[in-house]
Amino acid sequence: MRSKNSGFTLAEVLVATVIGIISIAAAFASYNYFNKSYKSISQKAYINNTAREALSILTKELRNTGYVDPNYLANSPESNRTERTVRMDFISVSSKRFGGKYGQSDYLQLWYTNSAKESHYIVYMLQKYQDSNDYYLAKYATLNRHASNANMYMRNELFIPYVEDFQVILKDKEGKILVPVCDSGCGSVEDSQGRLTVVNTKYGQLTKGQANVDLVHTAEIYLTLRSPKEVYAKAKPTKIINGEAPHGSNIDIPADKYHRETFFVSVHTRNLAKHVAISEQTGTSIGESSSYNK
Amino acid sequence: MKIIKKNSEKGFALPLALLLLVVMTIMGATLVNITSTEHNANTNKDSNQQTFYAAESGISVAKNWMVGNISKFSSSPPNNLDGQLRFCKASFFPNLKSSNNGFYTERKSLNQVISASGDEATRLSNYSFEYFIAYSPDVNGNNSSGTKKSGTNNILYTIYSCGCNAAANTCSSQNNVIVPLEAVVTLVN
Repeated sequence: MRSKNSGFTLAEVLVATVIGIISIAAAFASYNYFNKSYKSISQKAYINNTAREALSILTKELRNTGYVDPNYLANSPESNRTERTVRMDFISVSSKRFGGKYGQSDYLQLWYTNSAKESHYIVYMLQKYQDSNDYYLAKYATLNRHASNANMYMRNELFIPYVEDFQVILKDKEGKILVPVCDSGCGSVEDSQGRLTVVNTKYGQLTKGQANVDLVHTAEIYLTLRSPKEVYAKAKPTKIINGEAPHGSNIDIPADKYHRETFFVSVHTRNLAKHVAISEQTGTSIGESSSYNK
Repeated sequence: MKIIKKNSEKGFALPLALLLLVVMTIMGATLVNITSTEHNANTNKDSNQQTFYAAESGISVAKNWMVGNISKFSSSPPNNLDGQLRFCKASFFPNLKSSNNGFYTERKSLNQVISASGDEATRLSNYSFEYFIAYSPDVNGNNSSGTKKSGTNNILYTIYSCGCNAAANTCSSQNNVIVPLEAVVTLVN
């Protein structure tokens, strides 16, 4: 018989220890599991959130790209605004300029008016964080760029954090990729391919890159984002292929623990390649239309 | 010899388990919260997107109406549009002062312009557009008379279209998402 102070037998202590260890291990395991999914879900939600917000702004801007208010040319405070000079500003994509961490990203400029006296010139490019090797998509926006009191109201604003790749691919009505589409400042690739080719258009002689602006029917945006913090327990390599070669990107990233996601939007640039709606009965048609999304 | 004191039977397993349980519950609750916020945001985004397409349908329906009703554009607009508009007001369009000087307005749910059945028809019936057609306004927002496209004889018209994420007869600009969209057009013979 055991007295009150005699304690437990060895077997009891062993069993108790084992049960204790197992339950503590189980508790820690489930804590770990929770912690991991918490980390990864909050990071993924963060990526999703920023991409959703940013892409809806970018989509709207692309839709409005090339919109010229009917009263703009006569009333703009900017100098030298004619149909020809205005359309030079519409849209321009330079591939591999400000190419980001992997050197393959694009540089996008677009332009639209939102009233007779206001035009917006917007530039997107990848910029490096000061304290790390990573890049963010920066936005620059200028009100009335060609006016004496031009106002750059956004300068190097952090638009989307931790961007690995940003591709803009412009296509015509048939879905053929348009290269180059640019005014000045096309990258060297476009220079050798087309900027020196002169094309006759209704606006006079233009370079191929300038003439292509009128053909842009769709803009496709590929945006690959990285989680700000590490998510995975095991490092694994990543391959990013955005768009079709040779105009997209093809990036090999060595093994790491970050989560990456690519977002894609395709926008009908309604103010660039314009269509004419014809009524069958009367032969009357709606002329070139331009539209604005507030 | 006392190997195990009575006191030490209190142990640390129970408080530890409780602590972990509390931490996990908090994390779990946060996760549910994040997920539901994301879900809502995605649903909203989807709804906004659909509403935008509804506004676009309005533009194409309006264009069709225009080419079929050329004669109505030979005289000045019949006025008094404001009273007929339900949710598409001039105030949505900063470059327009009043929607009163318009030629025509129409409001429809999407199931009235796109033929569909079953769930799809129900879904479409929850989106609608309302448009009005007017002379393009001048720089001050006045549109009582027509202006011509520079260098041509073509008069500029603007189609103002609003998409709404509710049926045409229940949509209100206070309670629903309204996406305003405008298109400048000319009629060419």
